[in-house]
Amino acid sequence: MNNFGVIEVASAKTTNAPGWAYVPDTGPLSLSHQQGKNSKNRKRAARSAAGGPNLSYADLSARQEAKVRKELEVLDRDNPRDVSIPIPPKPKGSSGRDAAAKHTPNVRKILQSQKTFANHLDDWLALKEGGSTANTGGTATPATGGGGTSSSRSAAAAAAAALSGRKGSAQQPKMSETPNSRGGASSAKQQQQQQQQTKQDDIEMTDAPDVGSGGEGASTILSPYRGPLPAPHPRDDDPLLVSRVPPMPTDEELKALLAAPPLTYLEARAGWGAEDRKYPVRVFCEVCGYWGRVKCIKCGTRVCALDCLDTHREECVTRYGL
Amino acid sequence: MAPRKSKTSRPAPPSRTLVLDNGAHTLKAGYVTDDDATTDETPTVIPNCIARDADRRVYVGHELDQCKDFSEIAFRRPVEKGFVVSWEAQREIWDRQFFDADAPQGPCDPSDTRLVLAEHSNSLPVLQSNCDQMIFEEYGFASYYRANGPSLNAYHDVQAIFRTPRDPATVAQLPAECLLLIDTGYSNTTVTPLLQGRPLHSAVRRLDVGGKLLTNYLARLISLRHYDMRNEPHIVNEMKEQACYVSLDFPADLEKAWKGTRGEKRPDYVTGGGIAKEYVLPDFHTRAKGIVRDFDPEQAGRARKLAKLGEATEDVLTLRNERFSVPELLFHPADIGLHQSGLANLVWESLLAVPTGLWPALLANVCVVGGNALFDGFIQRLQKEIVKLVPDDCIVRVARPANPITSTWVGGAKLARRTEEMAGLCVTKAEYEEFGGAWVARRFASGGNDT
Repeated sequence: MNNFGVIEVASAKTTNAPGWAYVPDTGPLSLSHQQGKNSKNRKRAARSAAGGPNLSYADLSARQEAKVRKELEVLDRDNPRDVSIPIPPKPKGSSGRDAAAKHTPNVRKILQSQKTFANHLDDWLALKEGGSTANTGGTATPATGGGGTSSSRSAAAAAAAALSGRKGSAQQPKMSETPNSRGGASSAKQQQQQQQQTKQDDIEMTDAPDVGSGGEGASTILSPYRGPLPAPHPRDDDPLLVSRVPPMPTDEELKALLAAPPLTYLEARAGWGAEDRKYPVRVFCEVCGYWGRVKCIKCGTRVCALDCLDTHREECVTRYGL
Repeated sequence: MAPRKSKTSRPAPPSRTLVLDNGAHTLKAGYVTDDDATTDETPTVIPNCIARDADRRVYVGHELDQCKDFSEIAFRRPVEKGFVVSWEAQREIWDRQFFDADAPQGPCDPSDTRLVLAEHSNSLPVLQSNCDQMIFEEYGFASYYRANGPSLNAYHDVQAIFRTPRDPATVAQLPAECLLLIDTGYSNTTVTPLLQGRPLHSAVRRLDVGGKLLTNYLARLISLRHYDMRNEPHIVNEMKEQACYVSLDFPADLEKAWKGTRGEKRPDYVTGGGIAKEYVLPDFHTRAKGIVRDFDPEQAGRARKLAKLGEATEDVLTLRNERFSVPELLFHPADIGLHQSGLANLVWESLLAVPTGLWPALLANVCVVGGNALFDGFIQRLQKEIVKLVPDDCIVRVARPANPITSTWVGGAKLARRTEEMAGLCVTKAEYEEFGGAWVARRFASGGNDT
């Protein structure tokens, strides 16, 4: 081990420096913990736990990250404040479809649902995790055309699974999914039978009829080029001038590509790939929007120059003190 | 449940088709009949929201036209992230728009109407089945096709959009063979490669930046620098639509819009540098809409004096780098800490998921639809960035249709006109009742799967 020539002398003696000491900066979480363990200075530990003035750089970035996350959430909202606008009553004299007409149970359930998209996403994640063994394929949505109760039940179960620990109630959505499992007896064998039964049901159902012949040739998916060809040139065969055209995918490849099931909502989300990491993240002045070239010492906010720094300081002082 | 009909007594296909592109911000709707060839030109575009103004008056859908004062207006939108979530609100909007006796285009009889509903890609199965159930059980449409929204755009004459030189007598091949469609709407932006009008699902990518986020971001910037506009989504949205543009050279524009260091005001900043614009805010008494005008330093100085005396007749905002740094988020979402690829990298990611042989065809046909495509410079900037990323041998052509907002709808209307193709895609109410919702979901998911 290369210690750059420094030889550590073991000693049992620790000096309690009166004012300050070097402490290892190990990030925002373990900072107070480390200090609490290492130093006997209770005051310092308390101060750092409370997020006092001796913040480290890592602390700042964690706080900024949380701030960014919160700001993104705000940007994603339809209204700045929470508003609930109830459905207005029908204007008088309008005789349309009978509003008081009987709804089917499915429809009533859908209309009364107050779920947001985030709720649905959570439900679906819970369902996917809990019920993946029982489902046959991606199309096994809980709701079917006939019975509406089973789907609401499974949704409730999924919500319960999401709330409580995953392990304990993971069986529940699976149970309510298969329509035959109302009896409750759930020996493994029986379940297997039921699964086989549902599979057989699937086979009996006629699948979607083939939809094709949408203007494509019988042999190939891509139509060949029929337009005019460029005039021949004497050096067409020159290997230096030949343009390289990537090979066309075969019909099987294309068919597989077309038949691929849709990605799920989360899978389709764009990532933060290597191409994006190639360049550093751009930072901007939080006051005027120019490049953020200067950092406020107190809070880490980026500003462009002295003018904006002054503007920022006014706000910074009211928030963090001098 | 209604008595089951036997298959032999299949009813005649319904007389007209309701094509509906149910967007998060506006819904685009219109009837297409087989005999009238002009119906597929322009849909009705109405706001898809329930709004409440400062006087607590509530407007549903198209009634928002009657609203005179948009200050402090609040919206309830049934569509979240592109998917219908709140059917309670959506039903109310649809009822007033299509089904009530006093509906603008006359009441629609669903039992004699076919519905083509454009949906966003990558929906949750629960939301899809909710949608199917509402269509058949609540409304009872005669038949129904839940189409993938982006793929409907392939039914345009795409080569006309790109102005490909060609023999004028050639009949456009429909659907377009290869198309890389970018749909940049209110909730998010998706990239969808299309082959023969069918999406290559494994290559669909989504960026969570849309018109809503841009509007909210502009509102935040203005609130930091000028007035508190966070409660004025409508005004800020109009401001964004009128004043924002996509910069072709972001660093240079940013430099021009900078005021300079302390003590030296840059000349570009003083004169406006061709970037600064003044936006006159609407007051909803004498002015119902905001006005954009060029920045004039002398007039701005006078107005400031007037404002100090409290005699100003108008509220003016000077927009500088806000004009281009807001749409910039589409290309650099990391600027606000959203760790996702920008639009050009999104195209690249999507291309990596398809065979290389298709790249030249896809890159030569990049089509942008959705409201954000209306930003000035969007197309040029996107083309510039894609050219930087892809192999040199590929020709990159980026274009937008004449009206990118209704483009999906028009494509759907064109599809609805192709009767024999529609017959294979639609699901009838009888089939839904006979085979159930799961079958319908599978049928739409395989949509046009001819293996």
